[in-house]
Amino acid sequence: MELGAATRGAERWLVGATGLLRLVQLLPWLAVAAGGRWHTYRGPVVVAVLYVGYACWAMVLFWNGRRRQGFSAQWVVADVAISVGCLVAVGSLCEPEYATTWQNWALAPAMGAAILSVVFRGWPGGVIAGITLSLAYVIGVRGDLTGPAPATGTVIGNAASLMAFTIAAGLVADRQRSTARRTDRATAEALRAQEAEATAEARRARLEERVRQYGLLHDNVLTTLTLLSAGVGGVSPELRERCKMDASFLRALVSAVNDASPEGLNAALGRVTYDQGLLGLQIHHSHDGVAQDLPRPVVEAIAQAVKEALNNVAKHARTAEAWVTAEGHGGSVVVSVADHGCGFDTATTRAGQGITRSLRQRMAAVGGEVEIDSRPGEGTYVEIRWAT
Amino acid sequence: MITVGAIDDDRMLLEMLKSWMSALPDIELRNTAATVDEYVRLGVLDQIVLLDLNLKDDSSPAENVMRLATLGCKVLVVSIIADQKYVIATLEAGAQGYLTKDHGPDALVTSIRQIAAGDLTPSPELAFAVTRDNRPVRPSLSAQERRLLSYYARGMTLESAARRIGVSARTAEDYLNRVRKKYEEAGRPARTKLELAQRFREDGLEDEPRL
Repeated sequence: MELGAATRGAERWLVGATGLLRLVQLLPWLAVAAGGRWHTYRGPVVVAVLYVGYACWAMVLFWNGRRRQGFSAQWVVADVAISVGCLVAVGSLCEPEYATTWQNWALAPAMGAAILSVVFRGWPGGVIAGITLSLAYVIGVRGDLTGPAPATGTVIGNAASLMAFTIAAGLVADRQRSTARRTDRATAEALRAQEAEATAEARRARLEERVRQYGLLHDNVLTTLTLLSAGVGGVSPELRERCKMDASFLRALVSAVNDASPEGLNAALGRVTYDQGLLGLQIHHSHDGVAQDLPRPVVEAIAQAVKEALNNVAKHARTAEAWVTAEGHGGSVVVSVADHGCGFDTATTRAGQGITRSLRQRMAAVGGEVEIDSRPGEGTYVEIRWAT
Repeated sequence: MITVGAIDDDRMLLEMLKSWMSALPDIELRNTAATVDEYVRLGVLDQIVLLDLNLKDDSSPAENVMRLATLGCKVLVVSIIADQKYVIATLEAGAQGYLTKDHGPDALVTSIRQIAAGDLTPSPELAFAVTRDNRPVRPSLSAQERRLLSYYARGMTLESAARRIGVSARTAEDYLNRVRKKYEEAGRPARTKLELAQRFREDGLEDEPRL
């Protein structure tokens, strides 16, 4: 998943903060060392070497963390393991009564290790690391729990504060991250809105251009075609027919422009009536108020049904004229195909039964209805209804 | 003989109309003009005027119809495409009927004869525009009138539409006439205003009020 800018920023901040924390946790012991109180250790050289080694490890750890913008489970486990080792070793190497003081430098960075676990590996890992490190601390300072003046209170307090710091750090990290995620979501949303606006703008521009072009078509081409189809200029009957058809196609297209969609029902019906025109049928196509965002399958089913009904007119009605109308009423649409031809008995003729069944099936598939009204000698009326 | 005038900004269309009608024994196309202004200036009176819906001089279709009706002509509006809004406006302005140009000469001649005889059947296009009239202020039609009109607008013959809503053909015709009358009446106040304005103009009242 692509991380947002704010989330990446939060991760970077958490790496930096835990790194700075570890540095601050390691520094105080330098003052102890500078004080030269080496007699407080049973093995001062080992303690110093461990300190330098731990500081080097911390540098490698955070250099890598910075590079990768986080810490993998292996690095965190290694960090906790090294911290556990130091807690046990340094605690054990302190002279009695000194293991619970600043002489034991391993405690502060161990808190850092627990915090690192909870911040980068989540709550379960963080809590386990915290408990492990607390136990290691107790094991390291076990010498101070016995003797004439046991430092039990101090030990419990230190172990508890290790856990408390871990939990506090986990909460801070959660908060940082959720804030960053919210910011990213808001940013992404704003970006999407911007893009949508740009798309809508482009659509408006295209529509305006189409309206302008259709205006030109109406003023020039359509007028000329209408004249030619009416017989001006002595054109041949075949050419007149052709002009008439092209004109009626253009007429449907031009008057569909206000409905704004070339993929909508009006345009689909325009194409169907044009194709039927090629077969010699003159079709009067009117439409009004048809929603142009009807589902694609519905548009196709209606267009196919109209085509079939017109085929029927051309084949059986013995007329050369038909009417196709499409009317929108809110989310519903009524499309009709009518002719003044010979008509048929819808109940008894086989062709009548066939077309009725076929159209009904077609429209039932998209949740629409079909009604056919015809009588011998009275023309045929097909009504296709669809509602959301 | 039915005398006819034609107003269209398309010269070719006018020529074509002339050549068609010259062959008809009972119709004579006498006067043609590109705009209503031009026609009025001719100072003639034809029984029927064919008026293009959208003239190039950007005059209002409804006002054009009113001016011609005021002269005493019966107006038949014709256009390339049926523009719902304007079609209704011309009907209210007192036009007798409306035809799209794709109907061809026969339908035009039939309509002219019907107008002359005083019994023009409205075209389905006109009926369609009326059924889709959804202006807040419009003549109110009865449910039966609306149903009849709607089937007729979808291309059914008047007889079939009448059978479908369960009335006789005779009643269906009455319905159509009633609807036309309702629209005519709805447009009456506007027409009266225009007539008054015109009379004032003729009397020279508009420019120089008498003291």
